[in-house]
Amino acid sequence: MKDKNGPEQVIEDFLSNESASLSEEFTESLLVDIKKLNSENKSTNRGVSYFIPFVSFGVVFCALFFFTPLFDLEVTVDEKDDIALESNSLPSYLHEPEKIIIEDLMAIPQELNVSESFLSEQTYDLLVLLDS
Amino acid sequence: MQSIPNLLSSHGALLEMSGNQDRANCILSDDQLLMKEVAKQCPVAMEKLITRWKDGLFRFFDRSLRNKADAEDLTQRVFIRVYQSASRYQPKAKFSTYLFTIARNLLIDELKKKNRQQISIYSDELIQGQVAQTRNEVEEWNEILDIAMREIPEHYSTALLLRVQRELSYKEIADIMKVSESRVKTWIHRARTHLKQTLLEYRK
Repeated sequence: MKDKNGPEQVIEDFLSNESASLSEEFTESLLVDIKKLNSENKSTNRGVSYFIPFVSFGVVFCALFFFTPLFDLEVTVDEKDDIALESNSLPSYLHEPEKIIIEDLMAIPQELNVSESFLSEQTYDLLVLLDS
Repeated sequence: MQSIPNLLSSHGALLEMSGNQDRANCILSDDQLLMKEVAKQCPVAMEKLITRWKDGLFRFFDRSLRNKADAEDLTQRVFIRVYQSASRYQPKAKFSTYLFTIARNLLIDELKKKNRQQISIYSDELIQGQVAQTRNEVEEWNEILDIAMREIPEHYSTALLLRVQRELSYKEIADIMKVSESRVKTWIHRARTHLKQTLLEYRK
């Protein structure tokens, strides 16, 4: 049998800490806190569900916004084709190298996205003269 | 053990939190079943768990932190965490292993927060000075052991307290502390040796 005042027993008693305990009020106040926590969580969830339609609308809007440039690209391709068609209808008296230069010049405004373009026939003639 | 009807009738205020249907759904058997009920937000099950484990946790924190207010606060935080994670609880191990894993994590956080200073050597004068204020022999020894507990690292004291207070096996302690069993044995042995030496030195 262990000595009541032996070091082992004293250490065991100290570590066991049997005298320490919490009151009933602790349990009650803790349950109240948990209840509060529960109601806070519920209100947060309610808040989240309230925002779901807005979030969905936002996502749809963003998706539409994202896909819109694709339509623009398609339009751009069409415009290029138009320019190509226009370039085919260059005056027949022009030589092949001159046609190439004019085509290149016509392509410049498209690439730089500048609205000005050399559309008049006199401008073409002037450029041909300058080049020669 | 208190029967379910007794438990339900003795806590009128608590029952206001739940309806009659909730009462009928509460199955109170062991801790793991209680946790399932807590996951369903059964307040009676939560109360049962708190009543069962509050003192055990408090004793553990009290000896680890040597501050009753902090020990009470941490005990409360353990139960709140248990409640919050009840829906994710998987009864793989003993409930005590789960509970004291949470407790230990909170303890480590608290010690970090407090930036506890590990005091390597206490002079005899310091021990004598503190102990002089205590009244009887047992209080003196407890004071000495309290000081000795401050000198050992957290993992030594946690392993020792889980062994003595909760009577957990080395395997369970190893699971909680995520180390090998042999290491747990070493820590417990070193902690005991230190406490014993400190006490014997004081008695001389």
